[in-house]
Amino acid sequence: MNRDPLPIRILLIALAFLVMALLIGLPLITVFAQALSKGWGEYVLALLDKTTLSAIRLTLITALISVTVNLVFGVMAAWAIAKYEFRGKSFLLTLIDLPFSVSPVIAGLVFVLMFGLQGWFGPALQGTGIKIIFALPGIVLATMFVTFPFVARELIPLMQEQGTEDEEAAVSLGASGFQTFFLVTLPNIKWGLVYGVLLCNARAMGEFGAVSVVSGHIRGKTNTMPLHVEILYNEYNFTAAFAVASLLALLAFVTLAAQSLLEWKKGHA
Amino acid sequence: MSIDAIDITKDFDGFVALKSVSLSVNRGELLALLGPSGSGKTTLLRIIAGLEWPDAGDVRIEGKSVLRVNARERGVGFVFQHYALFRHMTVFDNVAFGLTVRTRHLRPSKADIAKRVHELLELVQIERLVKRYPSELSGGQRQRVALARALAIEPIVLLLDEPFGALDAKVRKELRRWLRRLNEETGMTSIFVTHDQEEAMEIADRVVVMSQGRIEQIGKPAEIYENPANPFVCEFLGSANRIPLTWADGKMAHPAIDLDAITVRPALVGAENIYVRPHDIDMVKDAAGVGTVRFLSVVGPIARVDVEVAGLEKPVEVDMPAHRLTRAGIEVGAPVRLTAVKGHVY
Ligand SMILES: Nc1ncnc2c1ncn2[C@@H]1O[C@H](COP(=O)(O)OP(=O)(O)O)[C@@H](O)[C@H]1O
Ligand SMILES: [Mg+2]
Repeated sequence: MNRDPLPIRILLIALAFLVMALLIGLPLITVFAQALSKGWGEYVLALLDKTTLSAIRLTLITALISVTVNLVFGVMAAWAIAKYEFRGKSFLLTLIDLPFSVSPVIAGLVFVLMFGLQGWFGPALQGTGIKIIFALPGIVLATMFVTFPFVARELIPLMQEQGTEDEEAAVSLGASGFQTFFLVTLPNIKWGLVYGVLLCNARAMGEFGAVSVVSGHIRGKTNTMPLHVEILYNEYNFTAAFAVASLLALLAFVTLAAQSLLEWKKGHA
Repeated sequence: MSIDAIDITKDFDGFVALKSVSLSVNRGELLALLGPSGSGKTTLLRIIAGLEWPDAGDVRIEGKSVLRVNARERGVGFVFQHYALFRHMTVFDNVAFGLTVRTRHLRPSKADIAKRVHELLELVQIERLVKRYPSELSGGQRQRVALARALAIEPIVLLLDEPFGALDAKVRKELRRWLRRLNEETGMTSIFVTHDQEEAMEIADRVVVMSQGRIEQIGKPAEIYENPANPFVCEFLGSANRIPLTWADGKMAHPAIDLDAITVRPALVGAENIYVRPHDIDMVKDAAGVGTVRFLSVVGPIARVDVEVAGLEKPVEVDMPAHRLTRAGIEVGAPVRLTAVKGHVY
């Protein structure tokens, strides 16, 4: 492993750091520098703007719903794939991966096609007065679609590796299905689950493309944080744009820190 | 409790793992399922436990069919091959699990559970490990926890899948004697799976020999060892030399090995082979003998000798007391004469 001469090792490591600094560090610093360029006062004011607050609230609600739903369905899908044998399993796996390979814009368009005014269910929906496109349900659906693989993908290999013996042991000791899940399965996949949720959440809050298509960009109503950043930016309101962007960047830091903490915990478990 | 498996057939997507297997286990019996890997032992055990369902046949406990009773309600204690301990729980919580998941009106009080767990840990001699996690235990200790956990629910029968397979020789011997004692003291009907014939022979009341999804023979250890039903059982229970026979006047013979000492039932006259165990062959040094010693290993009291014999593909294995070998002056290259004193004809 360590046979390469010292200079080469140093060079490679330095290069890695340099690339990271240029590609990731610099932009992040720029975000915060721009956000704070007119001082903390402006920064706080920009964040307290009514439309900004509404964007933050919408993002939080969207993330909360889609992460929760994906958590439940992700666990169910992973369970089915890892613990049962059935025909069409590899097809299901491909389906779960689909959001990774489909452009988010396409994902958004699909929902417009289905639920938009001219869409398949459009006329039917109009009769009931339920709005999906250009409203919260559409945003949540698009976000859910894009973020579905995170939890399932994290859990499937973990559950496959663990097999079904623990669950069988629990059942043969008299545990019910619920007890088996909450006392045995869940603790076994705990870290993978937290990890998956973290990634899912980061993506849900940061999603732009799919949400942009279904949202309609109604200021103060259907703008999530990433959409709001774009609008502010296009209006040359750079301080406010970067202020909101800095919140998203902060989310990335928090996620990263939580991930490192998890890795560290797993390593010491 | 008595257990009956009746005409059990299990098909895994076209692969038949069990073919019409029938088996009766008496109350209080310690039964060994013995067979090579892939012979269907685990599958049979899992079907009895309710972790797998047969495609045909019935499982009865105390004469009552239990196929409609799922594993949760069957009350069968199952010890998994790889222990399947709950890794995030301490030894205490693992052993207490079966009691703590009971519905409220059947659940013992906290104090009673603690008392019971400590009794069980005492029984399996690992009380001091009560606060440890499975990852902090040796293989033998994990197996003891798995046993205590299965016993906690006071199972009506105890099923163990290769319980000592992954342990080193010493711990293995110790634990299997322990299992024998447990069976004698509690009178709990127990079935254990093993691929180690020595283990089965040493502690089981009866041994079931399986191969390719079928039962080859059922009997007491001495019975099946003395009278293996077929070549498979004979060879599985220990090494045996297969010697092809020629027949003349209802007497069997082999050109190089003296078989005169062995008599066979009339029904077996004309059989193709005789299987002779290495320790059932007498060997003497004889310049006129047709065998030649090719290999010799003396470690401990028994000498293992390979003798090349004209007309036989494989060398004949012979075991004899080391001191006799020395006295007879047998060494590699020596010409020897072989006499079989006992054998199984098929
Ligand atoms: N769930 C399963 N799906 C498909 N084949 C199986 C399954 N379980 C066991 N088998 C097959 O059935 C045969 C018997 O398996 P098993 O009962 O585990 O044998 P043993 O315990 O004697 O080694 C093996 O060939 C195995 O591959
Ligand atoms: Mg097995």
